[in-house]
Amino acid sequence: MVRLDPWGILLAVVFAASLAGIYYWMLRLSPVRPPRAARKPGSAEGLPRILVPMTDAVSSQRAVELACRLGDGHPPELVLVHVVEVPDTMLLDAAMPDRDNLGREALEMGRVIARRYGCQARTYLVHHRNAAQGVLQVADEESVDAIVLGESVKNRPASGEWSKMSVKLQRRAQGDGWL
Amino acid sequence: MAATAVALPRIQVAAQSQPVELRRDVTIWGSYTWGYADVGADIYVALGLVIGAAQGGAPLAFALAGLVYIMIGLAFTELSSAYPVAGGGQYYSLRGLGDLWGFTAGAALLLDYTIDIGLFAVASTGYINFFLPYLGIHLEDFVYALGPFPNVNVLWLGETVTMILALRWLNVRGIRESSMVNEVIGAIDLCMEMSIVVFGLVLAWNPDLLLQQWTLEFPEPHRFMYGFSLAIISFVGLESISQAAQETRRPATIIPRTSIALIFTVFILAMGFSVVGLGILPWQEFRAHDSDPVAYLASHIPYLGVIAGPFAAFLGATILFISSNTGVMGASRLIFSMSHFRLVGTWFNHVHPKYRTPSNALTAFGWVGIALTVIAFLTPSVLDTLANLYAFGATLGYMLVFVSLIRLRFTDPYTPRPYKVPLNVPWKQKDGRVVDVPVLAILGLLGVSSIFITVIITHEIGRIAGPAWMLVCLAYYAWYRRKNGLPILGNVPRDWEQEQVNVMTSAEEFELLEEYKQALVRRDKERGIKSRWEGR
Repeated sequence: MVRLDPWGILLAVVFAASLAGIYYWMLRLSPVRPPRAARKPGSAEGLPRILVPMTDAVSSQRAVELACRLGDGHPPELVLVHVVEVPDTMLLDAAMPDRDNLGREALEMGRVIARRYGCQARTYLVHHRNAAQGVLQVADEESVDAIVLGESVKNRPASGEWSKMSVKLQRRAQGDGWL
Repeated sequence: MAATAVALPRIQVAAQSQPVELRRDVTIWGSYTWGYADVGADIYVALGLVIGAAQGGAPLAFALAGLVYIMIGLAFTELSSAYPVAGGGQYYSLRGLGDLWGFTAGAALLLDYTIDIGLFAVASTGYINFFLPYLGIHLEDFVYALGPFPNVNVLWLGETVTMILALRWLNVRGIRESSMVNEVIGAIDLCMEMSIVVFGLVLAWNPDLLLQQWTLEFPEPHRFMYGFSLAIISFVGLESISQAAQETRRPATIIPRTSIALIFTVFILAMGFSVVGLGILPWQEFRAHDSDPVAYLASHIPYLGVIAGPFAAFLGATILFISSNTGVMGASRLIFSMSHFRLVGTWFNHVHPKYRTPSNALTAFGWVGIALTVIAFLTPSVLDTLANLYAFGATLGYMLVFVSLIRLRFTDPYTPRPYKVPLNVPWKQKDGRVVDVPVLAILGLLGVSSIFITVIITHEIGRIAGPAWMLVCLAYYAWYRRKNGLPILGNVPRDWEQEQVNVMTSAEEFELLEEYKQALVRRDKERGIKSRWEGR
């Protein structure tokens, strides 16, 4: 004989909903992170030296902040680099005071930010035919552990891809990089 | 000195035998159904026994046992996600308490897995025998007196032994075959169990009957305790997930989820069945049908009743088959782990070169399961005998797991714990470290200890056969360790840190591995020593 009871129906709904909720929660998994991505900045190896290419853009200042925080309690040593790209039509050691002054201001801003986070910072103002190559050269000489590049979306090409600088660094950098 | 070129003879270098490892194959659903297959089958055996003992108080007995089970489950969740290896409770006790206690926990859990093989094979073939009358066969025609043992059902015994041999063959072939079986049948059984509870509540449930039985048929304390100790049987088997941990993909991520999901789904199902049951039938009828309580309950649901008999019999047979399968796997993996850590002989450590399964262990404990089953068939009640032993092994093993969990918080705080048992009290040590003392684990230890004591007091066969099993196993342990020049009461020196790194690497838990190494480096820096983990 069928016996419909409102409490029974309510319990059945609660029962079914509880189980459905549990299975839904169980089956929602986060995606797998590959080993290289899983190696967090606070690695057991530490990141004692990080290079940050500096420009007058806010994005490079934010990159300095990020680099300082990557140490996870152990402030890294920063290497701040501004590369003045010298056109092929000029000598490499040609004086470019306006560009040099802009570079010095950017580097000084980077150093102030680093000091605020308790990080030591060395600065380089480099003349080079190619900005990416200049950055990599300094990275090699300083044996940096990582390069942190700040890039504003607004400054990217219209296609939305990363700038040429970013692409070149990705292709040629020997160490780790975060973009 | 003039150099003379000499043609060196070609030397055939024999291929060095590489140690063969277990392969990772179990998915998230596979991990869940592996545990469910073991735990979900328990209700088919326990429902009638618990209601028959605890009477109108059966929902409370299930609830209290369920609460203890939740704490057991949370403890296993923390440990199996932190240490995703095959050993389960044995491994945790080994790490937390040392070799002797690791062996003791292993022996207790081995008893359980072996009983699991026999108990659920017996129950499964019992449900299969439901269909014999349709073939004109009557089971009672096959009862014979064998020497001093009257009433031995040789047909049922033969079916059970055949099933255990078939399960052993399946597991030697490999985990994939066995996991696939679990996943498909587990899904079907889950749907069926949920349907019985839902339709029972909607179409036949009477809250007045439940309330009447609660108030007028609540048992005396000793009867209730007996029912409570039986109720824990309906939750045993969660550690199956940890047994498959070494073979589960992304164990640190998956195992906490599947363990917690299993804990609460089984708890909800057990409560559902007991509440539905006592709201449809008086408790006396469950006692009269304790061999097939779920089928009997289903047959009283309107519209479903007409097909409920064969439907529930098929359901019971399949899930009990899975549970017996899980016992085969669990026993073999456990003994594999014990052999690896030199708690038992290396013969058990052998991995089949083609199937990459612990074939020796599977073979050995398949036969031990058959032996125990045959012995149980010689006693007056085969199910009661096996259930008694099941309760003994489970509660002893769980006690050691709780103690290990607490101790490992002190001795191994550096291993990342993707899941941590909640409700912790911080305790500052003399060296300045703060250790989180798990309050729930302490409560769980008290709870399972009370059940263990109840089992010893109330289960006649359990209090004799259980300790006898342990004594035999400990005698073997002493003999093996002495024969191999290993300490009997002491520990074999082990590099647990390297072991943990290897485990995490094998499990592809790279984030946890980095976290672990960082913790070790920080510890070494604090101690003023150069860390071997820096730069690795």
